[in-house]
Amino acid sequence: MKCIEADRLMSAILDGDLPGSPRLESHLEGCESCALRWEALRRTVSDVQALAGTPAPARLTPRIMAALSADAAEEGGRRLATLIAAGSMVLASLVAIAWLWAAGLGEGVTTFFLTASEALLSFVFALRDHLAADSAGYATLVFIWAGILATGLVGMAAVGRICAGFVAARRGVGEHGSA
Amino acid sequence: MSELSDAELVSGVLSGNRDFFAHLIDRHRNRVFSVMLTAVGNRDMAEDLTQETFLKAYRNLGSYDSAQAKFSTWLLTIATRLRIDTHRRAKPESSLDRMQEDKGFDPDSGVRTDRGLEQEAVGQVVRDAIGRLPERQRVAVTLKHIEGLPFSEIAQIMGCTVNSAKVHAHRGRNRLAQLLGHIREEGLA
Ligand SMILES: [Zn+2]
Repeated sequence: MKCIEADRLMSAILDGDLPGSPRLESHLEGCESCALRWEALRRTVSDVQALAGTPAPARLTPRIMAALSADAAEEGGRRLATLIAAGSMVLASLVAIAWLWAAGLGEGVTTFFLTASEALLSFVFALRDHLAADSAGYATLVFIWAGILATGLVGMAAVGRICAGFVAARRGVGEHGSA
Repeated sequence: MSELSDAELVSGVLSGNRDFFAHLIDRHRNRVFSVMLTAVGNRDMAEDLTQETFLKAYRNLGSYDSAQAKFSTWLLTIATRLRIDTHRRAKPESSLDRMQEDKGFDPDSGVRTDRGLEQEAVGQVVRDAIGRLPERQRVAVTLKHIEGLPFSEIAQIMGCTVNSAKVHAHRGRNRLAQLLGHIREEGLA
């Protein structure tokens, strides 16, 4: 038998696939390097097996159950924070849309805001589990969203005013010319 | 309660009986703790990781399928992944290094020739040596020789074939024999 086959038999025995092997035994008698190797591997396995049976401390069960309750409470808090964040954003968007309608700005802008709010909301829900459960994360999101809305509204108001001024000026020129 | 199977306890928890989970912890905490202790070599960290494993199991209990795996196998799969994730974040200081510095420990002379080491310290050295194995070798050696699991279950936990689990255990044992100073020669396959 070649040493490589002896090696295979050693592994099979250590893996528990073979109870023992007379062929390996006879090879070991004539091959010192395999005999040393077999001894080393057996010592290694018995060293490792000696680690078995370290019991977990009994206090671990109540500790985990307590952590479980805390976890559930945190999950409830996280749900509430998500709800508040989503609610505030919907409210902010509704105010913005109402303002836009009142200002007589067309449906296109409204649709844009609706789509953007929807996208942001699904983003918030997707992030729900990744956002640290703190409400600071949500507050930041609401703040950013309010910022986007405010900038959009102010920007559009400015553009509207410029356009109105431009139209008025054109009208003024037209009236002047026809007189 | 003790006569209920793991699967029955799981469905009990899922239908709102949270206390059933305490029985699952009682049944399986030793094995999870032992695997974690071998992995990190530190009781406090092992306790934390055991807790994390059970919390994760609780959160994902709905996805456990008793037809696919034993509860213990499923749990150890979670534990193994968790351990890999935390290992990537932080590599703890090895007490093998500390011992080699503090006590003039010479790995070439072999653990057993150093009579000054207490039994527990020897265990710690073996744990540290296991901790130095490549991840998959470590998992295979731990589950085979400490937990005594059959390769069919080890393969399930590692997400590989039985043969490849055996190859990892084989390589792990060879490397470990070198790390523990039982073998001097290099390049064992
Ligand atoms: Zn030989």
